Amino acid sequence: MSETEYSRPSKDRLFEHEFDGIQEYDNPLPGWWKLIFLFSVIFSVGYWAWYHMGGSGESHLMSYKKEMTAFEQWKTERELKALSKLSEGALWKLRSNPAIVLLGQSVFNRPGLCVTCHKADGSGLIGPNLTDDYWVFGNTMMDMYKVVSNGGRPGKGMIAWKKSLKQKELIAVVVYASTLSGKHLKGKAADPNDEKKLGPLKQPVLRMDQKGGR
Amino acid sequence: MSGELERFRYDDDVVRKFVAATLLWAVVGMLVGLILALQLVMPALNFGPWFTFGRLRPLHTNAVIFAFAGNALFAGIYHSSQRLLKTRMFSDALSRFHFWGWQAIIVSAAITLPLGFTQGKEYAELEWPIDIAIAVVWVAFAVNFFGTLAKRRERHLYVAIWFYIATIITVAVLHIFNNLAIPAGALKSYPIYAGVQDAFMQWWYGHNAVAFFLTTPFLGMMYYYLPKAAERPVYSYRLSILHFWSLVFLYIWAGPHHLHYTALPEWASTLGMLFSVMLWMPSWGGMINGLFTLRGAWHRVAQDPVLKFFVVAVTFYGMATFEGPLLSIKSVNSLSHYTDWTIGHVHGGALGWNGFLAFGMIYWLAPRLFQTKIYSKKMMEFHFWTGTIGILIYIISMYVAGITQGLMWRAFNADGTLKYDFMQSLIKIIPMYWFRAFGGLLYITGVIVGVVNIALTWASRPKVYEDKEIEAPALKPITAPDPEPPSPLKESGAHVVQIAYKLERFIEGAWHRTWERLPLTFSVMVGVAVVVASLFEILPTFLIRSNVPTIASVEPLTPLEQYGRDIYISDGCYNCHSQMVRPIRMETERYKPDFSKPGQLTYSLPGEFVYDHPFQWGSRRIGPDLHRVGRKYSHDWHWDHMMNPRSKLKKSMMPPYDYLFRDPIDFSAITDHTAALVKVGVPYIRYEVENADKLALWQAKKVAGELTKLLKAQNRRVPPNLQTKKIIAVIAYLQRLGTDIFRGPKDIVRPWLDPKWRREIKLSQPGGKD
Repeated sequence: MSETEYSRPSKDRLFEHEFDGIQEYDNPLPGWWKLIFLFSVIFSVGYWAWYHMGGSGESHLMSYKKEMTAFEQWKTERELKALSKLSEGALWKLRSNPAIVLLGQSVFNRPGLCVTCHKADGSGLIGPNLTDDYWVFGNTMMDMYKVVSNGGRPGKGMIAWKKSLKQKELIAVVVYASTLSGKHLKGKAADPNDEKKLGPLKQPVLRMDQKGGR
Repeated sequence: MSGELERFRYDDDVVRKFVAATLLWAVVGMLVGLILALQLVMPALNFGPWFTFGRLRPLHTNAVIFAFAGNALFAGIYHSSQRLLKTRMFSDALSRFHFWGWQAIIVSAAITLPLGFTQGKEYAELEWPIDIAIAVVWVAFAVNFFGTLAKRRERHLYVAIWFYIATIITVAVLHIFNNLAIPAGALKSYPIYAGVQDAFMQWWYGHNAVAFFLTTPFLGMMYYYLPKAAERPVYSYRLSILHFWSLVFLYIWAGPHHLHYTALPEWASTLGMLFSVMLWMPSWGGMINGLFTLRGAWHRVAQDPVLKFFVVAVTFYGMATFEGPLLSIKSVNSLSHYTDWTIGHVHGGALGWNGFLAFGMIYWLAPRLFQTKIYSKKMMEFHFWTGTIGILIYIISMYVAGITQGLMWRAFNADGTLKYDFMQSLIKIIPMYWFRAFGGLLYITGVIVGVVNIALTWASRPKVYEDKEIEAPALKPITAPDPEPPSPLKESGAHVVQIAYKLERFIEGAWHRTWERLPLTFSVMVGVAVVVASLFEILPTFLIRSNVPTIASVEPLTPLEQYGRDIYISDGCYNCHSQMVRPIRMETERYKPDFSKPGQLTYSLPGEFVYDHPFQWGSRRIGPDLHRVGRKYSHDWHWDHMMNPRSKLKKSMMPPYDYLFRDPIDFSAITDHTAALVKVGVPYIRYEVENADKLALWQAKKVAGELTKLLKAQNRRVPPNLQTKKIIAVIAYLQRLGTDIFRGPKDIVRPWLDPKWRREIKLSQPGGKD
């Protein structure tokens, strides 16, 4: 008995073989089925190349980190905006905000700004050493903020930076500069006529909700 | 081709047995499911320790997958294979051994799971002695099946048989390699894999259990029973070939889509997604062949309840296999994962595809097996409609619940804080849980009516079954290759036309026709496809070290904490709590420990799980994630919460764990456990292994002391012998969870690593007077 006698060319060719009475047609695969299958394979190859073979697809960890950075920056800006009244505690809390510290560092090191007179490490050049225990105006962050924004004594180099910097930048640069205090770098020696020995930056007594971080 | 006529009889007795077992376990498994659904809306229904949600849920999943669907597929395979191969099963003894062995396994599962003996890996919960029994019974099944292939009287293998072959080979491979473990007691073991690798193996297994236990055998059954019931030829032989091989080859890769955004390396997760997307059409190949086979028979569908069951089954198969690729897309998964969307998806497949195909098959079989008329067609109709409506209510309520919860979890306020706490997201979906329970109740009602119908059909059976003699010609050795069909192309002498002819033969599947008469080659090809594809993912996961960067501050748990973890596993906490904070803002925001440093990344890192045998990442959040729960609450908070969760959270669904306050810690087991953990690679020092029980007692006293102080400060009664109670181990474990990466050099978790400590501290023997 021949297994493969076909009745051609009818539309639905029936194979002659049967299994326990079940027969099978020789119908072609539906066109849409083939197309979608093919497309899913092409998509997969492209996707793999885009994300894992040197394409510019971003890994999910990378996009998470980006999102978090953007989120932190957005939060910082909100915090600064909400900072209507500056206080020692509020400034101190910002020291644990990496976005603010980074911004402060970039302002500090801008050509023509702090770095010019205090050096990048804060050890002093024309201006006093920021890392030692000697202070002209007092060792709190509010003191530092006043000097930076309103300037030092007339005739000396420190000018009122509030004319050229935004408040956000003023705050950030104070926060950054405050982190340099207590490093005791060798640099410009203290001038005993000008500076009083007050110790490193004074840590305020904080309420629980101002501690931030830990 | 035709040889001498041979006479033989089919073994229908074993099929009747499997059918009866299918019905019995369907009722049991689904009733447990209904109880679980009700426990979520009425936590008072948790009767601890044996009948809490965490212990019953594995019983439900195991019962419906392995007992209900398992027995159904065995019934289908034993019945249809004999007929498709024109022979009796290879060995009646093996058939009986398979049947009774499988039932014994189910009974032992039904006993051990409520007792809390579990490996803690989803759908692979059964402990090592039962796993060995499963392997033995499965091998017996395989020998019986392949023996039957060897003595067949049908030269070629029908498509149903291909699917059965794929099932038997792949399930064996999956079961064995996912369950490799080192025993630590008669019913306790630790898997040889840890953390990321264990997660990978588990979902390689878990996903392919769906593929090769719930899909391929049922497709095989569809290919036999649907054309039989419809009395129509199968729509397309070519489609059978293509969708069979593409399913076998693609399915095995897709497991990692259960682990998107977790600590699994991203390349693996991408492979899981892409292969799932590519699986869409191969899966639909089965649906097309099922539905299109009914062309010209749709008028019969309206009259024949069997065909109605099949049509709905195949439709749900199509729905579930579209939804699967959709859910595997990473961005969709970030919303759906850990929510009830997954539960809806699974039940569409299980109740619709597996359930309805099994019941359709049983209704078709019943009059033939019991050699009588079906008792009531009206009851079949009733079963069909309650079932269909039940499924729809079930899955729609779960879609609504899942998407609601997913959206609430990711909702932020304008100031960047989370909009809802976890409890709010849970309270919101409680009405959906009621709908779900109602849908489930409808479905079970249908099943019970169906069982009664079959039982009454059985009651009207003849006194003695007629054991019909079958005649079929014996197989003769092949002397010539398969004759080629006539074709106008073939006769032509032109070269190009000859190529066209060959191409046509290839597309028609002529090459495959040859494979079909070589079962050994065919099986080897299936095995190779499955194993090679698996190795492509498994080898890099295990061998590339950069996949799991180690973290210096991550240390093994102490013996007491490990004992607490074992209780966590035993009580099935992973059924409701994940331990995996994904790197997604809403997630790190919700599960951020308040002692983390600003800017520190707090999502779960692969290196944190290197000592987790087994991993406990979970797949569903009925409760919040626990990976960063360590040190978040005080000891006494946990104390109160475990005793009565609703004392802390009014609307909590968590069962009370009051027995942990009574049951004593088994200190002698701790020594065995620690020794077994060393064997699977946890780097405990020798002192620690030798003194595991004493160190556990030392720490238990410490934790109990801290707790006593807290309780006394509130003027509360402190129960005697606190340090010997299981709750202390659980608290110790919870307080350690996920804290290692925040540890400074002075936070010491295992002080005994310091020789000075070992000299100075005198440990006391557990059980002694103290």
